[in-house]
Amino acid sequence: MAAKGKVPIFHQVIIILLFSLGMGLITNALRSPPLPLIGNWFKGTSSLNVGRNISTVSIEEAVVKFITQDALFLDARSRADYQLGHIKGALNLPVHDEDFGERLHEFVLEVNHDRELIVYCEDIDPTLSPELASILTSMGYKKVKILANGWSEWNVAAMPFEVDR
Amino acid sequence: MKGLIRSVVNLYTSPYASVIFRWAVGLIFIYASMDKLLHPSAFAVAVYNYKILPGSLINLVAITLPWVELICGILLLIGLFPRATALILSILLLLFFSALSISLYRGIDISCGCFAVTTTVDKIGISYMVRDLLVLAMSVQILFFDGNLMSIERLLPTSYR
Repeated sequence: MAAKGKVPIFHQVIIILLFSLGMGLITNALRSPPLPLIGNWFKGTSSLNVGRNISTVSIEEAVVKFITQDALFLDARSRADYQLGHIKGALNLPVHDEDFGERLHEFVLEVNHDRELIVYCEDIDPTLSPELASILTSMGYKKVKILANGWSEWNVAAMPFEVDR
Repeated sequence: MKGLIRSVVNLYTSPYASVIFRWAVGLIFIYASMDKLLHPSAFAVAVYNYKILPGSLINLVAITLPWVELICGILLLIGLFPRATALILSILLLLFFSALSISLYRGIDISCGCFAVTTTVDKIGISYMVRDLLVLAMSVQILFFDGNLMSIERLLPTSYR
């Protein structure tokens, strides 16, 4: 099975793998924006500290972004909560729902990586936004921000919302 | 019956079969790499959805694996390092088979991410495992029975083969 010549089969395997790794790293570095080499896909599930590197926006900033339509709002709560009421125009990425993976897949195909994203949830489960923001950042989205306690703040500010029937 | 089995074995172990298998597996993997190379982020999501790899490794796999597939595909087509390439691809196909089995056992409904990652309709199923095994059978054949026919390695000095 082993090659008889100067390059044994396992050396050939290592050459092929290293070359592939090199090509992957080079082409990724040239991509705009590149995929982060080390993702942070599952950190959110057990820790409140997740997303500590992700910045937050105040309700005032969020309102401005909403009016100027500079940002896309993402609702991290369950589909049921989203349907009961959500920020007008927000997309639902229910991070703890069963079909989250499929929705995330559809999202990555539709939304440009340069798009500014504002993630929100509710103070009942404040871990949802950081968890989703962390996943989006791992996917290469550069402009991800969290609107802390977003749904309640939005209602206090009496800003437009939608209900799905 | 014995005669039939012997013919099938002879056919499978023939170096001419290796040439056809090399081209088939080569084209399959080149095709499989294309969409992933163009959409690494979508491929990363497909890998994430399997919930098998640790979160920190997902992106490295999404960045490197399509290149492994493309380079191995090209090497098989031209016939350079065919056995090393077949070894890598056989191990990969076994890993893919395991990932599919685990996901089907867990009952999670996810996109395969095997070829196209710009669609969410190709849900995994038993047929994907059968397909994986068929390609594995061809890859293993190349690993053990490749005779260097129609290959670029024939052009290299003997000492480098």
